Amino acid sequence: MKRLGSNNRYEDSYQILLANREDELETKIGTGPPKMPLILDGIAVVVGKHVLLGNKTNTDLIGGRYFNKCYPVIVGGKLNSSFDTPQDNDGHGTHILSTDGGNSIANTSGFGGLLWSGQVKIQDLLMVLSLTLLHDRSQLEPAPWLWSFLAKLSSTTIKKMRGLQLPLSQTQRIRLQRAFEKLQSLSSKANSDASVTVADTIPVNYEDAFLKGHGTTDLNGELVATVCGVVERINKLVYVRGLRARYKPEVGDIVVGRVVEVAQKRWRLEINFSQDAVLMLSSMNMPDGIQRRRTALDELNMRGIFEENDVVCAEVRNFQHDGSLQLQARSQKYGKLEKGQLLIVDPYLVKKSKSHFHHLEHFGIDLILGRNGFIWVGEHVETRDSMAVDQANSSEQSMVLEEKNQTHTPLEMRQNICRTANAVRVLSTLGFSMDADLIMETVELSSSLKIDIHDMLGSEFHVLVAEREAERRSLMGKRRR
Amino acid sequence: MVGLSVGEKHFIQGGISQDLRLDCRKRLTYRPIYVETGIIPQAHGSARVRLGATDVIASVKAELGKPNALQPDKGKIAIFVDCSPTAAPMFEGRGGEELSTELSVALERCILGGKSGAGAGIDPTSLVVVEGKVCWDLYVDGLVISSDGNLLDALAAAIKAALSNTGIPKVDVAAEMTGDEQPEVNISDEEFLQFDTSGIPVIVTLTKVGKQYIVDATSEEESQMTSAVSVSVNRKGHVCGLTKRGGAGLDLSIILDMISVAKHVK
Repeated sequence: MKRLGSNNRYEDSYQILLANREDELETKIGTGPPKMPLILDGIAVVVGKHVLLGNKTNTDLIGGRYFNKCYPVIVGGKLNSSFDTPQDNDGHGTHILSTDGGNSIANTSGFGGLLWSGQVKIQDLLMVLSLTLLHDRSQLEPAPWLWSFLAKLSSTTIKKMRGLQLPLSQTQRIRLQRAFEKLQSLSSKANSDASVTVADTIPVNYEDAFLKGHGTTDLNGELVATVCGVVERINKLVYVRGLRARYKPEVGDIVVGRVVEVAQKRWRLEINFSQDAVLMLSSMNMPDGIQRRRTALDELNMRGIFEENDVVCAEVRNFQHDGSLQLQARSQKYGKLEKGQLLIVDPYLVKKSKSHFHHLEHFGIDLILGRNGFIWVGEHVETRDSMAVDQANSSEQSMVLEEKNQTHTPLEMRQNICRTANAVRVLSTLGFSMDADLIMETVELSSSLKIDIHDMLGSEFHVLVAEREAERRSLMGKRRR
Repeated sequence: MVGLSVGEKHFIQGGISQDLRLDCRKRLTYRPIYVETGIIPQAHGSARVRLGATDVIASVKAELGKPNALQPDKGKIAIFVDCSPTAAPMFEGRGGEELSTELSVALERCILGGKSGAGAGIDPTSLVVVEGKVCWDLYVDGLVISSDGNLLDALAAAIKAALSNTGIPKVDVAAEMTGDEQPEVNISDEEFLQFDTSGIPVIVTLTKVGKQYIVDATSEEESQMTSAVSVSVNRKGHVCGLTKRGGAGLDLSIILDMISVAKHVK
């Protein structure tokens, strides 16, 4: 059995963890490298002189890993140490590295060990297909054959992406299936063809001039998708928006971020973007509300305003020339968020709407939907008047702060916060867009059915929410007609 | 692991003191546990346990080996845990090794008992094939795929499930053997012996946050803990092992209290 990397050279080979059937390999490997990788029933790949294979039995792709310096997987080779996880703007995610990552194990290939079963049950560990590229990053040119190869495997992966990690009884499964089918049929016809997986051809009228955007490539004269996602068309631009991509910011978006660094005259915030966003000291209102030039003393007191790990709400001001974001928090509604919890959902679930700040009066809580997928649910904070606060008031405030350390959020409000947070979690698991109305309805549904807050995360409630949403959309559709 | 702001920490502590945690569990409620067995066909036994977002896999491999000279009638069991780098960024490269060793030692102590072999969950004498010459070596491997708190409980559950799923192949020993010669053994591919896992204990970890303790902490709650006690309790309600982590000291009465709570929760 051939072992990967046995000649220590960094070749243009792609290491993919698959299973194999040894007997088939014996007959099909010829001498010399085949030009195209030989795909043996979709379960083993021969590339160049290397046989990319797995272990006995099963057939599915387990995962891969990106290394920016390739480590030959040979007996006695170094332990893998990858410095890059392949997470990029287009949503290529990370994957599983098995226990013996980087080691070589007799009679197996590549990175072996525990995770080679490939059985359906483990499949949902694999989210997005990514590959281990065993050559120098500077020569990165994914070959066209790769896409057709991926197409064979991608269909199973996509099904798993959508799979809910919930134990559903048979009836629940049927109900959920029906609800999802109803929702799909209700969505507009144009969109129904829109979701693509890797290596699907994108339906385009080739006579019109069109621009190829992100996530597409030209393969044999056809336009082919390179990520799994939804096709978007804007005028002449055709691109594929990946489903698990990071946040793609636009100017004027409201985002919620966490401070990771206090730097000179600025704070750096993590907002689920490829880079950290920057909040300049000058884009922030001073505590005393006076508009003035920031002095050196202000700079030294930056920690008094925001510290590391604080949760901050801000607005996107503009992009820098190097692609990083600049934020501003000039109005009173922006600023530090306390007394609540931060929830993280996929960014594509939060659509642009008129208002992202929602004050749920009935519960007395604040709900802030950040477009980057960070959602804040917390106690309601009165936005203070921006007029100057004099010394007396500021000392009063500091006293209030101390008191706050002793008093906790009252139980009822905490229950409301928890209920809303669970509603958000349920909606995010089901993949529905976050909308304040929808969240409120879900919360009301749960309280009207007297469902215990903890049970909201159970399968029954998920199914109920899905059914309710299907009904709601069908009603809306009928009303429109 | 992301850090938490002061406000959030305060919120978590407030919740725990009011018996309403972030995901609305009570203090002594576990997250829903999902167990799947038989996921790795080439191992003799395997299981995957999901506890909220914590995801661990355990697999059991049995190999024939020579028993320890001091204990010729007992087989050998080794437990090893690996934290995969995909579980948390800090596990990249060698980062996860400290945690792995800690978990492995804790599990060995809880499941295999003390040095003399007393109090073990698995009876090693059942692993012997030919006394003094051939025995089964069990290698139990745990892999942490995703970490969201409470790894020890999840690993213990996974190991218990994997062992219950394990089938050791039956061995036929050739009748002829003289002196020190290695006997011939035929490993049968057909028949398997199941393990008796009723004696294997389950670990309950109690995490102390502020003045209260909670069961099954998520990683945010674990970041707030002052100390944690992991109690390993078996079916009969006997305490098989006790591990304490964390820097703060604990009053003895609190420990006894925690043990009784653990028995009750189990």
